[in-house]
Amino acid sequence: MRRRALDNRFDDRHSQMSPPTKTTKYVSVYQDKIYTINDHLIMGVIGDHGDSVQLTQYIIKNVQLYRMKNGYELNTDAIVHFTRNSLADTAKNKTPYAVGVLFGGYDKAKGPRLFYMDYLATCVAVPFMVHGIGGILSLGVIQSLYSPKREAYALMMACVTEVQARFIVNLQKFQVAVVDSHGVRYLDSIVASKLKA
Amino acid sequence: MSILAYNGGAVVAMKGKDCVAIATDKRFGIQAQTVSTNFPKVFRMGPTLFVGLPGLATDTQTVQQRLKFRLNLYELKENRLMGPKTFSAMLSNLLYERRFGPYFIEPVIAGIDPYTQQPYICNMDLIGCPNEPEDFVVSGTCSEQLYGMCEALWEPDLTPDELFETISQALVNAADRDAISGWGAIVYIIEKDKITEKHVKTRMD
Amino acid sequence: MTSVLIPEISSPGFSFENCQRNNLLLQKGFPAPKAVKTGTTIVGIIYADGVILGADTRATENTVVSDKNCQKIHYLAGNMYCCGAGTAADTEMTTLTVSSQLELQRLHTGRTVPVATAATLLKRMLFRYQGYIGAALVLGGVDRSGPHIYCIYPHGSVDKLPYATMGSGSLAAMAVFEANWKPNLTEEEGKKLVRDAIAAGIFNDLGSGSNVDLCVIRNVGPAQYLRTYEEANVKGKKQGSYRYNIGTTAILKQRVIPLEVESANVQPVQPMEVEASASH
Repeated sequence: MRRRALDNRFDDRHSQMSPPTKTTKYVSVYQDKIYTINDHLIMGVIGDHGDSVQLTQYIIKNVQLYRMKNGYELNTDAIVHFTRNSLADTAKNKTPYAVGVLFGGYDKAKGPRLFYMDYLATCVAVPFMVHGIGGILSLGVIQSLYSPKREAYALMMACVTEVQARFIVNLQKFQVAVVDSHGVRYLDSIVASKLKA
Repeated sequence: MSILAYNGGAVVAMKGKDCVAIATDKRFGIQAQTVSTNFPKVFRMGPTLFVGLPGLATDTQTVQQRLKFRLNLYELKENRLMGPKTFSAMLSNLLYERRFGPYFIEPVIAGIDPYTQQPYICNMDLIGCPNEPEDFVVSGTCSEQLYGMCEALWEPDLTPDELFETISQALVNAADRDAISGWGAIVYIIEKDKITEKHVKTRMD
Repeated sequence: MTSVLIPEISSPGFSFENCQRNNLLLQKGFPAPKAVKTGTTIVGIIYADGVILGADTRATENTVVSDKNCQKIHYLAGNMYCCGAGTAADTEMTTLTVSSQLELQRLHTGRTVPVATAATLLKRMLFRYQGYIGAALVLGGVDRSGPHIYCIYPHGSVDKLPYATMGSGSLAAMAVFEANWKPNLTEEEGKKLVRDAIAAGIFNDLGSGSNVDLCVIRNVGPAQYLRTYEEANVKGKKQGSYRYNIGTTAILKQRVIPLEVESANVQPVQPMEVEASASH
């Protein structure tokens, strides 16, 4: 069975500063960046947290509404198409959602599907792709090691190792989710500090 | 840098004897970062009607969808195929409607009229000014290189096979001198009784 | 969102839906690209029996020649034509719009539409858009009050002149007119003068080039459109062929899509009776 996993980064960039006392300290806040749209589609979203939540909730609710109205579900490609259209429309009318999206879906007819989408609503099907600064560092690793039959989790661990070695910001924890014919499930997060040990 | 060069890509179309060809590269990138090497920029809109939409990729997709929508509506209403000339008039109007807030694409249309069997090529600027020459049309980030290649290589009355070599070499060599085009190419040779789609080998750097 | 059952019906006029996004891209440092301009020489004169319009045939995108043989003399009605300079799409669409309005007017009134009507429609349209529609026009035609030449500027101002030039080559062309134009030229003299004026633009202005198009509109009889009246620059004949041998290009994979040629069913069509769009 082919598996395709989506890597996603927990990072401490979204930090909060405690009230300005004499001892200033940073409190890291981990946040979820993988959103489950339905039982065969997940979305990894980076960008402003508000935009990510707003967009994904809009998609989730509309997908649910469609199922209730019609009695059957939209397939992966249709949801991706709908998301692209929604994003293209908001890019024109309001302040655009500053988001980068990876869609991972499993389609009964078409098998595993992965789509890349940027904030301008450009959408392409890809075998692998990344978003974000840590992602750019990982891209070379994936490019050289990727094959459809390879163990994806090990490949992602290699990416995390690379990010740890090259990136100035310490990204500690990486959430991993898988979609296959059985649906969506979350694997153990890749924790950087444990990798080294 | 122009927004037309944000994603990169090139399209060229040529007339031959009772045939036309349209060719495109396969790259899609975000500025210098290549994201995909299989990104369609040329779409088949009818049996012998093709349109290439190089430019900003999000608009490539949006305009393709809008065109397909209007085309389907036309075919449902009229119960006949849309000719390439009508199609380019439709596209020209779609683009000029957004004269003061344009889509960032410069389209190329190639086809054979389903009723008269006449070959047809056309390109437009981003606000829909049509240009229908007798030889070739080019568009995209390496249009200047393509102009040079086509001007030297094109001859009248090329057969489908000759046309394929001419258009392929024009595109491949032009894209070699453009950093953000290339990574494979697709050539469509359109004849009245068949379409030949050929994936051409190019440099991948 | 547009639903599948309620298709989009675009409201008439221009759409500004992309403007906000495009401004955002502009702020990010991605300026909107330039549209095709016709750096042009267009002219028109009044001669003894009507008017003669002339134009070169080069369209440019910055310094690249994007069309070597474009048509710059646009049809408006049977008795009038209009040369366009400036943003190519604007001249094309403006004349197309006005042409259809004139035809409706002609069918409504049952008369030849006067040239002044066309001039008024054009200037109203251009004035309404405050110069943002970049069309500089030379309108020429004949009606019951005789021959007329109008110069219409992008902002909507109008000159009514016996001889006029427009576009980037207008100075070169005007020099020829100022030297040689006189009232009551014969048709041959007129055509020669217009040809000389356009040729002056073609050879002395970099924005103008290729061929000379003429259009003669006489007080009586149909207009005569002389497309490629003179090929001012004949391309040198290729001495050799740079043709690639068949098999040069490496093919990774290919696919042939056969098309079913449906049986051709030819039916004779009886042309519908319509009023001829004659000048008088």
